[in-house]
Amino acid sequence: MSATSTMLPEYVILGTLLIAMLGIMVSRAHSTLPSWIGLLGTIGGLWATADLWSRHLKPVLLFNQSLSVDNYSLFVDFLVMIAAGSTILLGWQGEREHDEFPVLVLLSALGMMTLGMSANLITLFLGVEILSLPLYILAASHRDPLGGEAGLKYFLLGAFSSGILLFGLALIYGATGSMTFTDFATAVSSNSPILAAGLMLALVGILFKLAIVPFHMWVPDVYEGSPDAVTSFMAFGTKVGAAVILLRFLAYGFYLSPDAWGPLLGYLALLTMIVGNLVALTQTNLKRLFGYSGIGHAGFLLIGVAVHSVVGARAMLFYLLPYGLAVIGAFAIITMISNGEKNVTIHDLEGLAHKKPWAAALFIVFMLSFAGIPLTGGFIGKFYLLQAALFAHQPGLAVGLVVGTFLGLGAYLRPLQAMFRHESNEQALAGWNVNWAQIVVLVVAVVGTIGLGVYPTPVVHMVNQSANFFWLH
Amino acid sequence: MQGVAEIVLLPLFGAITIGMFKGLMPKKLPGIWASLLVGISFLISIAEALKLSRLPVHHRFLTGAVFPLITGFGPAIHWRYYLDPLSGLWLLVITGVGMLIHVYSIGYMHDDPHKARYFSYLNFFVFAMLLLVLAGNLLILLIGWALVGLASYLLIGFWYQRPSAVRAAKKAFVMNTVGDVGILLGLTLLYVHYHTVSYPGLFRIFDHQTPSAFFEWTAFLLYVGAMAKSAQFPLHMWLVDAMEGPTPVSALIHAATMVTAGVYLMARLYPLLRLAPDVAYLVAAIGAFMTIFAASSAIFQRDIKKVLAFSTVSQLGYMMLGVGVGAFSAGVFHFMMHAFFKALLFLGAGSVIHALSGEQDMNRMGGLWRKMPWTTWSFLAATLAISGIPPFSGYFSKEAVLGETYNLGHPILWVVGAVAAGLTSFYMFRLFFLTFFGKPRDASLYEHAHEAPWIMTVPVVILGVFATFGGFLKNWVNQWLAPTFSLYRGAPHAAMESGPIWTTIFTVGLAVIAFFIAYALYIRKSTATNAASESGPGRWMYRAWYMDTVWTYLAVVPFQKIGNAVMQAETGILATVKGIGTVVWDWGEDLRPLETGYVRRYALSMMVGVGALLVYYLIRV
Amino acid sequence: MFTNYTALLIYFIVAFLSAFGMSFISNLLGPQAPGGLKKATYESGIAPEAPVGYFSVRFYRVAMFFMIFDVAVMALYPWAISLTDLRQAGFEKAVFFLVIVAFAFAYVWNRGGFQWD
Repeated sequence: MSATSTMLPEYVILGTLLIAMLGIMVSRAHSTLPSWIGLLGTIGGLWATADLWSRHLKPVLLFNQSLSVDNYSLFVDFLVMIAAGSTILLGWQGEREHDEFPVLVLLSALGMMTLGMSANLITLFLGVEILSLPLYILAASHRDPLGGEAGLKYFLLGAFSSGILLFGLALIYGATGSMTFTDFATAVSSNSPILAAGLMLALVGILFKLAIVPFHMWVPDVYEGSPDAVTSFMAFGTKVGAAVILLRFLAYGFYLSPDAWGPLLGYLALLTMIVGNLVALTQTNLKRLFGYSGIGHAGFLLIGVAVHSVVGARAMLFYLLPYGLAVIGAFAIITMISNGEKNVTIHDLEGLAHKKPWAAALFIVFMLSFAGIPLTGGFIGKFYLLQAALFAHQPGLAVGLVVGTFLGLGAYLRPLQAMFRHESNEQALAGWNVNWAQIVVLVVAVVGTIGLGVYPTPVVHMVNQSANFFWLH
Repeated sequence: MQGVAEIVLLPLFGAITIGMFKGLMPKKLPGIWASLLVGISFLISIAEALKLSRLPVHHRFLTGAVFPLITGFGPAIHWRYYLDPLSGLWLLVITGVGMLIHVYSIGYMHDDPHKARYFSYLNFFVFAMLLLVLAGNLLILLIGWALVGLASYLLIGFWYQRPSAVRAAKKAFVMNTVGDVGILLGLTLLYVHYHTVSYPGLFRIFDHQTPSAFFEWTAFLLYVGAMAKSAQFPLHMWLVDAMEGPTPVSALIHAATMVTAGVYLMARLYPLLRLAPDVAYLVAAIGAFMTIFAASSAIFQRDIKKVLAFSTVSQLGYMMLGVGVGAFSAGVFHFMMHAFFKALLFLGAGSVIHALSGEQDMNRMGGLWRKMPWTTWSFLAATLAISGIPPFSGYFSKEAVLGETYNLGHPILWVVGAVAAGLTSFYMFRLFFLTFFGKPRDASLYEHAHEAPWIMTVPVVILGVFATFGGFLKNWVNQWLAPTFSLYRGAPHAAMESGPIWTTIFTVGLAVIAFFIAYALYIRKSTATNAASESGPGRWMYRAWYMDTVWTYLAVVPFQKIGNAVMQAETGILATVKGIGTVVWDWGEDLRPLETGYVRRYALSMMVGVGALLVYYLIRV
Repeated sequence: MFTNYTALLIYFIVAFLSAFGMSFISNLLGPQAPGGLKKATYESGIAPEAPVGYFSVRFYRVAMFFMIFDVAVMALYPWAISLTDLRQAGFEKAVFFLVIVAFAFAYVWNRGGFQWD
């Protein structure tokens, strides 16, 4: 198999990106042509991924063992395509004045896909940077003080974390003499302090992207200042990218010394679940609320890595999908309310149940999926994580998961309650605006959320074939 | 399989069609459509029950897996249904009483502009409850369990214009979620240990086990779920507040069906209770406590629905008492009788409230028997039933529970239950006399009172017939449930027996005496409704022993404080970091191009994190 | 392991000390008379007409484009040196790279990135 055919999804996205730029050049300003090209490109990417998946390829190492195309990377491609496609759709109207919007989204998606395939240090760093740079621009694309602040904060802190990451990677390279993940485990004894320091710094760099406490401070500010569609992309896509590279990095490179990172990540997961969900309780701005709850969810995801078992890896990979679907669904409704103009607070939801019962019903579904109420995908995902924690004999993590879930429920109930409250301000839904693109996202999100809650088997089989890190346990 | 799927899915179909096409439907259609679907479900349930009765006694259940829900990472868990005499009984009550209440709602919600939404929710509730009861393993049960909680949340908050309704809905949801989490943990423990959560699979394993701490914990966690749903101490306060919902909802969800889910779960898990004798005793003790606690709280209430709500809590206590001491059939039988007479009481109260255009305060009622004869006499039947006067239905079931409590060696619990039975008789006749007899206390309300339309009266009268004669089903229920409780070890005394004759005389005697006291006080002397409620004990009882207040101080306030404290801690950490920053990194002032200057602190907090990790590694390596 | 790199380490230390030392020592030793006219934009007494002191943002934009394309083209030096070893395949890849860079250049041009006004 040649590189061209096994990396077809990536090439499709790259090609789409260039064609979209061409489209921007030839079309008049603010046309929907680039968005259409981007959307067709993600559909093409999905098709290419599905085609590769259906061929049951053996894992292929490309470019001097720096990229690994296997079921894991293909599953990540699926997730990233959903994230990118939904982001383009959500920004269809609101981001129309930014012609480069779809191009930047696709470029960032390319970085996430690279992270999914990455099998050595260079592609790891490359992936992180390709993911981040377009997001810095996207975060600042609204020319108001909040947007500028968000972009600059994200950029400065991101650059800072990139520096830490790079330093860590350099130390690892120095200690092992190799760039390839799979060489680390055998290269030196795990007691080398340089390797330990390198691993620690590299973890910090990745955990920053995943928004794990105490590297989470940027999240609420950046989420609040960024345009809605971009925020949903950060909440879904960035977490996918960071989580999958964390898993592959540790599962390939450090599976022989799980004691060096397992307990550490366990403690961080506990801290993150509790702090994220607890602070989410006090938020009134919806995007900040989702920011903090996203931090909590990152803590849930980290459980799957911290237990260093194949069940945990699969549970984490599975959880990304229901979480992401709930994110894009909830943000679809936020874009309907905000209409690209203002920051939506809990008070803007007042009377939603009365005036727009369908939107309210869908919003309930997504909130319940976040909270992990049965018959939604979120419940199944949490069940798997709980199971993974208990199978790994880590009752502490299981209890943390339950406490975090319960705190999160309190946070999600507040917008729901506001929705049912009788409308006290007439301005609440003044900017209500719906277009077909948001409806497409909503349908995908709700069908996916409930489908995963009722019949998750197909996705679970995909996950099983993807996270085949059998050497973990 | 065929029939079972349709029983469950028809109400869901109704909920979805009404939800989607309510704009297109004529005004009256949603109610009729919803009632019709539940009615068909009821007919199929009867057919299934007949099918069940033809199976051999030692294999009297229908089960099967539809498709996997949890699979791949370990032992699979399927969408599995399980129909045996126990779930069959619940099935018949849910669909049967449910259908009557649907029909009643057509009249009750006649003028409500959002009645399509109402019927959609109500059908959704029936679906969820059927899913809960027909579940073949604990996970599916949990799904139904959470969905009935959601339906209850939506229906309590149905009149979301009232802030109190929204508050009550939230309280119910949060308390019920505590229960959901308990069940989730319990079933996960069982799953991790035994790799199955299906009833037959688990119970077969339980047959070979001996009591141990593991089972006590598991049973306790599952009991927490039952506690929340069936309003057992300390998770009971939501049920009284839940009366903010429309009255038929109170009848269906918060009296007849949903709140008995905990009883169902405990009865279903009888093989587990054998392995956890301490938890079983706890179930019984809390049940007995609830009977007297709720009965005493009901005495001084003025709101007609509040009295009924407390009485529901009290009667749930009897069911739990029966299940806890091992008198499973008695507890289940009491559930069935309670479904009849309590649904009737709520529907009757609903008719009264309807007649008085929304008035719920008993201070302003009285003398209604002239205006509403059908309602009055049906209500009387239910009052006699709940008070345990022979030969009404409640007498048989309550006697079965109390008699067996005594027989199985729990004399203290028996005394508590018997005294509570006397109190029940008192507060129920107080309610009855104040509402229907005496002089009308509010002339204008009385003038406009009228008998409910036939669509509301007919269900009430049908329930009245069952509340009167239901007790004669006792032997049938005994035989019907026997196969369920003989299948596995753990229920040697499941069949209903009566206690010594003097215990019956004692209980009934108390009830009769209480009746006469109520008669003397409220008919003869026409004592005011709220007499003595200002005295110390009266206020204590009126406020339900101040448990809500205690709850607020023990759980809600600290919780809020923790939330604020964490917020402050975050700010505090940032401030500390800033303090370090000013010392260490003063020259980094250039890094502050933004209004807030927080970036520097964020970066520093990251550095602190890096430092902490470094220390962690240095200690380890 | 430090034996191999001792010289490098010393170099780093000296470099660090001299760089930061100079800035701090000048701060310490230099005469300081803060306040007053010291803070004015021009000490010579002419009041500024408008806030000045920064380059126009357009300047940075063009400088950035210059940097980007300059760095990109710099990758061609190592390629040119080893072209004889890389042969056909290396040539194709460099052409592909240049096409992309040219495409980006065309894009920036088309979008008005080089216009001063």
